[in-house]
Amino acid sequence: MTARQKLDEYLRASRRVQDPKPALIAHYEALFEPLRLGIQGYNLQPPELVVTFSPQRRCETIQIGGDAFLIYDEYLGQTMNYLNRVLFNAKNGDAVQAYAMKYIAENLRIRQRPLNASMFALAYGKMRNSAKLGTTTSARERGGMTTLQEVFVIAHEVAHLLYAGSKAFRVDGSDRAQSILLELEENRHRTDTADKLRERYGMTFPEAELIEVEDERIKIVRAHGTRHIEEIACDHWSFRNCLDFADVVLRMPREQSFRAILVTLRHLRALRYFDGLLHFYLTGDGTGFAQSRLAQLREYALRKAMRFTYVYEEDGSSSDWNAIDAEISDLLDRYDNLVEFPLLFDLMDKVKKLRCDELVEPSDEIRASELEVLVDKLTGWAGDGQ
Amino acid sequence: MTRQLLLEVASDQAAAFAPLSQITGEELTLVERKRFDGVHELVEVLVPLALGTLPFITKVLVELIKARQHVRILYDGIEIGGVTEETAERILANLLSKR
Repeated sequence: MTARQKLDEYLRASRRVQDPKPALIAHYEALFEPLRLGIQGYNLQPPELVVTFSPQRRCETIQIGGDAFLIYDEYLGQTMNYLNRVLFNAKNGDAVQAYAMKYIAENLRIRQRPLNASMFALAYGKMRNSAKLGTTTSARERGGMTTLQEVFVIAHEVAHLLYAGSKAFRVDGSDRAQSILLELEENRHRTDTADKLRERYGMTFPEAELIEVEDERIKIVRAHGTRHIEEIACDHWSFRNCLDFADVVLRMPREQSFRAILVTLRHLRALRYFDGLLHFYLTGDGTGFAQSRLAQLREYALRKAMRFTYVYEEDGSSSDWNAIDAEISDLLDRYDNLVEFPLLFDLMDKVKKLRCDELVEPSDEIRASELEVLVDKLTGWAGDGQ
Repeated sequence: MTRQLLLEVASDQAAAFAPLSQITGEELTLVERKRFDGVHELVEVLVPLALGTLPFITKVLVELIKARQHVRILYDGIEIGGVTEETAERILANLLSKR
């Protein structure tokens, strides 16, 4: 078998795939082209880009023999687009909870749990009716935002290849990440943190609690240093590539690009929460949410990098940055309220209840395949996947 | 063309499947992946599921399960559950018969 044949066999075995439309493949090739040049800049061989559409919604690099392939799942882009809609148009957490039901249904379906999947699919059908999203943001603006987020995800994956393959990239990237982490250590226990939070949220946080949170963060950095450094270094490279793409291709205003990029990290965390809920439903183990701390650290590092870019490299004023930063905080608070909190608290309780009366799957294969058809219909898999 | 079974195992366990290449006459396909979240100590082995390979695959699988090694089985995009020392042979034979 050739490497390409092996790849096709791998995709077929590992994913329930639908073929993406040729126009979409061209779209992703165009996103990938500047990154390909970036890879060649480090004298490395770029991987072949492969576009899929599957319920796993992952972006990953695989190696088969000596060949590297970067697999981008278009369903991830669609999901980020939906979460952007939630962020801009939802009034409460209903929409994201409905979507989580769809995600869990699709992923139980590929784990041979068609009866349990159909229960989640039915819940999705019921919940989505009461969670219709309006259209206050123009589709075009959201489209640009989603595209930039897709570039961020793909570029981050490319950056891992560079980190593994190029010493120059590794040294440069880890120096930068180290300096951000060092700054985090040096600035901890600053008395103005409590003042800033009081100003923003109108409430007082006990200083001891804030110190505890900061110390915890530092502890995590120390415990997982190398891995965090790689993630932060890769985010940074991805961020720089996104800014170029936003300027040249999307002509997106700087502050909008900053917001879109930071929201990407939230989307990826929301996807991990979906997986955490699924895992909890299947096993009763609720520890799948622990990674959120790394996400917080990455967000902190990116915001630092954005400030540096805006104030020092592009000569923006500090007061303008403060206004941009406040808008970022507003949007991320909105994300907490409309996406993350509804998943973590309310939906977790609902899944807990569903888990108590977990359904026993039918042993009859015909019945099982009928249920699979039902799940595909209810989740939209049988249509265009939406 | 023979359908492939995808087995996710710890990297240091993959060698157990190497003798399969003598049965199939094809080099074994190893897929190394690095997820976006940066974790990777696992490898996936693509093995052809056919009458001739079934006994060997079952034998290795049962050994891995007995040794409490991580094994995740995927076929046609579906994760195959409930595979134990006792059920492995029946489940794999069933997959083969459904092709």
